[in-house]
Amino acid sequence: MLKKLVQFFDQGRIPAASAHCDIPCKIYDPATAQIAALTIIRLMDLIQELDGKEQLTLADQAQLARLVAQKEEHALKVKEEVRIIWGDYFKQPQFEQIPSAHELTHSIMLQASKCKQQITRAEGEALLTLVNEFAEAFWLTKGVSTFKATCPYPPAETVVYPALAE
Amino acid sequence: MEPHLSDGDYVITTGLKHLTPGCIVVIRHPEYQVMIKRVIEIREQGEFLLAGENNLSITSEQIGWCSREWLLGVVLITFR
Repeated sequence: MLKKLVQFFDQGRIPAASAHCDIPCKIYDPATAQIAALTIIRLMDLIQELDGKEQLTLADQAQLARLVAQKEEHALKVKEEVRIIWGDYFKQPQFEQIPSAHELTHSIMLQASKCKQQITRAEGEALLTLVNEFAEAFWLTKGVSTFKATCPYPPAETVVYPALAE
Repeated sequence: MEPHLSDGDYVITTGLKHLTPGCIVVIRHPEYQVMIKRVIEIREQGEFLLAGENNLSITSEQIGWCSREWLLGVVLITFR
């Protein structure tokens, strides 16, 4: 209550002191998570291509191992990048602006785990949808409008981009 | 300074420069600029050592011994 009152009269007039509790780089962007989600879909597609073969050569098997390992890695990347934005960037004002932030973040964690467990493309698409939703929310807190476009590379899926002015 | 202080909290400081270990101070550090930390040690010459409240904080060694001339105030009240 008192803090809100002080906040009201503050308007930038009260000097700030930093506690240096972390490196305050303030660089946050959901793009890394979006690209990781796209990569997961692409990897799922490449795994499906191998599934079409009658017999896997040793090279194919090595390729499959790489694809699966990368799918795991990128699912972890999605989780980490989203967690950092949710945990470090989002604070009370952002949570007030995006009341669904906790639920959305949690659903991304669960969906990314599903993408680790499975090779079904639909699971990857569902993850991208959630991460896009998260990106929309993030840019809303920044006061930046967004637009949807098909990414100009495989897997050619819809991505939310910030409409940044020059 | 979590959990004692969070980003966006307000503090009122006193200009009196009487320091005791445990008090929270605002200083103008030559490298880190205006910063808020807790005093953990004061040596005879009047210089003092600061520390954060959690393990994410920069260390006392990084901050170094602080001069009283850098002191802007001692925290009296916090608004959380």
